[in-house]
Amino acid sequence: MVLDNFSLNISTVNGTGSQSANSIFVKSLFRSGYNVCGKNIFPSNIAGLPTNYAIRINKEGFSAYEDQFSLLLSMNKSTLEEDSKKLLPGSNIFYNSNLKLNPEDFSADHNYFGIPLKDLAKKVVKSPNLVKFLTNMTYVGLLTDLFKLDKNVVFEVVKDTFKSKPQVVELNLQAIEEGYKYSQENFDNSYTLYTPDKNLNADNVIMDGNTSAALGLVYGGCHFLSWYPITPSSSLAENYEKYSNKLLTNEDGEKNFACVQAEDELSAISMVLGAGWAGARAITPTSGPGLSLMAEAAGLSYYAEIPAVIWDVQRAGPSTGLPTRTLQGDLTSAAYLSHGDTEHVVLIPGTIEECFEFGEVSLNLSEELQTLIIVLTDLDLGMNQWISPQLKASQKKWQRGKVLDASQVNAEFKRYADIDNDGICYRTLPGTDNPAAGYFTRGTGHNLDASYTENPDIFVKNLERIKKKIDSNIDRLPQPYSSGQDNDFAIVCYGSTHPAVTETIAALKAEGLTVDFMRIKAFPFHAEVEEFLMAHKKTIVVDLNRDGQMHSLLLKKFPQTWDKVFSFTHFNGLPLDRHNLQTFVQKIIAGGSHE
Amino acid sequence: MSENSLGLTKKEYKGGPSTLCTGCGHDSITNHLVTALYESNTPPHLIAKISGIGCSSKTTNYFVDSAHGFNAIHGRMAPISTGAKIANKDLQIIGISGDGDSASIGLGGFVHLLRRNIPMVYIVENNGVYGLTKGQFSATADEGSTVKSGEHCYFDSIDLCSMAMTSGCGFVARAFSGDKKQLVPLIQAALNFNGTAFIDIVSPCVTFANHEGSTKSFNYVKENKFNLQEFGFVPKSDEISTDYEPGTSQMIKLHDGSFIALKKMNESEFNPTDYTLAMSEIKNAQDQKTVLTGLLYIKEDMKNFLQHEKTNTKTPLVHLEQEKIQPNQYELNQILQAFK
Ligand SMILES: Cc1ncc(C[n+]2csc(CCOP(=O)(O)OP(=O)(O)O)c2C)c(N)n1
Ligand code: SF4
Ligand SMILES: [Mg+2]
Repeated sequence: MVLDNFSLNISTVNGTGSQSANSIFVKSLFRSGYNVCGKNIFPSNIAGLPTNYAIRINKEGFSAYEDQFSLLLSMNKSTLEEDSKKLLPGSNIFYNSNLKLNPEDFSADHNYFGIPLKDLAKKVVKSPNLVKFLTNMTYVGLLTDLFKLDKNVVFEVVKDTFKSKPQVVELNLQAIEEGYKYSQENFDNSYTLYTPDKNLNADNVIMDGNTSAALGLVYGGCHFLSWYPITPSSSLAENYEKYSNKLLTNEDGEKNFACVQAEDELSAISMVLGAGWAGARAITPTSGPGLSLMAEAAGLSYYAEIPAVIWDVQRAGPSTGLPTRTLQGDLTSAAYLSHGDTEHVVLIPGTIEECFEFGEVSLNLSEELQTLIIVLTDLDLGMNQWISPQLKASQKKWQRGKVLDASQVNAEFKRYADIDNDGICYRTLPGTDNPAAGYFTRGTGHNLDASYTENPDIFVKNLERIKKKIDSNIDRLPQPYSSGQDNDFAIVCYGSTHPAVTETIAALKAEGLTVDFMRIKAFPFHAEVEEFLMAHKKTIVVDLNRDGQMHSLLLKKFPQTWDKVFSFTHFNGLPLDRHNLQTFVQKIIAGGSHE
Repeated sequence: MSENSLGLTKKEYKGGPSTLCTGCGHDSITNHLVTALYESNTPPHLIAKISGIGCSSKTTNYFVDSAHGFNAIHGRMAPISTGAKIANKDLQIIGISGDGDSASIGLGGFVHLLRRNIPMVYIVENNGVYGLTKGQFSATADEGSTVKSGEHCYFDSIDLCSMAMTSGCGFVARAFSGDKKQLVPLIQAALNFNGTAFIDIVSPCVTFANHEGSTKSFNYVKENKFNLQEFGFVPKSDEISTDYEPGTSQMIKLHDGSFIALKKMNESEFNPTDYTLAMSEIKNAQDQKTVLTGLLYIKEDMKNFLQHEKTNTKTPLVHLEQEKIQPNQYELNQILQAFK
């Protein structure tokens, strides 16, 4: 049987180097021309706890997570029982027989194949430490044979991965060879995947959203990044520094950027405000707990109108929640972060390309609108492997907003005067050599020339102008994506659920039901969002959180749609699997209503 | 009217009218700052005045009106200054904070700014209370002192100067708001220091901490102040005048060629380049509840944040335009090879 869709689960123990083995296998599939994605389901721990790696191969281009697998590769005795629950009946389990598992204890639903992976690794090296790592590499050989991949493709990937270390390459190749040989000699139950299109990925890359975002910031003109380490956002900051060291450093070592690891998130965001106030394009990446700590400064940015960007790679909360699992749990908190009236601009990329683009877009908007921009991605998009078209540096000019230089400023200058009647005022930067340029930034009540006032009317006018500034410039925010609005029913989603939703829609279509689709990329919403909801009899809003945060924002903004929009939620920390959504949509369409 | 070397009068270093209580120590500090900035010939447009929240933090509005100021949020003067200085290294950052602002809510930021050695002047206007929230104890209140209502302080004070030293600060001074003669040259030296120059200025709160029982009242400070040295500042261009006789004075050269001249006022062997000695003097003073003023510690040969390899941004970041720094598609393609 030719397999057009296949999900396998590699169950390992974290801290054993399984990450490289998994990446090598995924990349080999990628280079062979398969549509593949890899999701690391890992614990908040450095070594010794269970980690699963879900790989999906799909002919039609679908890349959503599937919570049911057709093959289990088990390197972890302690989770075998759990892992096999997610395995379709009749599937095979390949396990490391050096772990002394007893096949008689196993459920009868599955077929078991033991391979002495550790022994195979021991054939290659002696040192116990290396054996541990190479044991994982042997299963790459096993999988290469089982899926009938071209061994040379795998070898090339290994060589490229450990380029600078020829010895490491050699050991890994040998380990893969051992696994491969063993499989050839002992198993004849291989998997026949669909014939790949060799050119499918010729112009593609396979990467995670944090890396793409980091590159996007480098290309988008981010001068300054401050951060406090927190999963799943750390790799964004680390990659920004890494690529800036390469791309934003002069030959003499002079840096054209700065990256500061702050003492906490209170400082990280404050540094961004200081830098933004002084005229640099600045950002701080974080995740939910950090976002909470940034709340006070978020209000300052909003009210004193200081450019700033927070890039929140969401994880499952509240509190410390499931720190290494995915969720879209910070949406409402981001939208209204801080005290008083603050309604922030929130941008929500949903693809690797958008992670790249939104670096520049968010920095532009922060300077154009002179306010905080919060970008929301999540662990799934930020840290997992997604195929994407090659990233393209934008040819656009960076938008630096309304800044007056020394020659443009005069005695008439008032920091908060709405000269152009678009809510956006002109600002000056410290260091501007003109005595009229200076003004006093404060978070307290201020009048047009930025001096202190508690005058009620002025306060009201100012807050209203700030609202107008954002609301009348919604067109500058990334437009929602929509597939049309001719049908009666629709699904609205945002961020990383895009693949699961489009796949659901395709599955429904195969059953004869055409459903429209919209992916929202920004808050406050564009007018198109309202039109879209109004144009449909029923719309299902997909949220990766318990409370249906997007659903409630939509209802808040468009209350007249209250009986037309339905909330679908998924919040167990795993990426969305389409099956539940599909059932839900069918139920709603069949006449289900609000409970 | 006299002018400084930039052709500016002292008036041009003044700010808006103060709204602090009449007699507040903070206002005197503002006046001394105006004098010091004027005499230092600091270009007003390069000054960035940054503060947190408190009566003390309000004072950024009361000097150099034409400069940019930022009265931010409570406890965040340090990281905001850090961001501003890194964004534009040409700025002369004057950070003003209070004892509440720096010793409690902003303590983390304070310590880490010093550790990074961000080039700026960091002033704490220290009155031992939270003035703006009406007189509660701050963490710099001395053990045994009282607030106005009579409540006793049971804990040791946090000494910001010794904390600054342990955090790696290379310019640590304590002063009194009422001592112009000492404070003006101290600020001038601070402006010329190649790193963070920290000055803890005891600054009585006349409304909430000027009573008997406060160790930061005018009377208490006057009676218990111990001045370590007569402090002089000699700008780079000036000849060293004969006032500073060798033997009785210690001359400390700053990175830009200016000098600090310290004239001994008593028999003590105090030497501000001796870390251990400075620490023990500070501790003694704290134990005896005396107010030890002067330059407590100086270490000149330190790299500041912007001189490290990791962060040496020679051109101010704010001047780096797209044409100058944006990498091209070819470079991106090279990087993307690793993801193919
Ligand atoms: C986050 C936050 N918490 C509390 C306050 C209230 N508050 C305003 S000023 C202040 C204390 C200021 O004390 P200090 O820094 O010593 O300044 P002083 O008024 O004594 O000069 C406090 C607690 C605040 N503004 N923000
Ligand atoms: S309350 Fe105290 S610190 Fe505040 S202005 Fe009045 S005297 Fe100064
Ligand atoms: Mg105080």
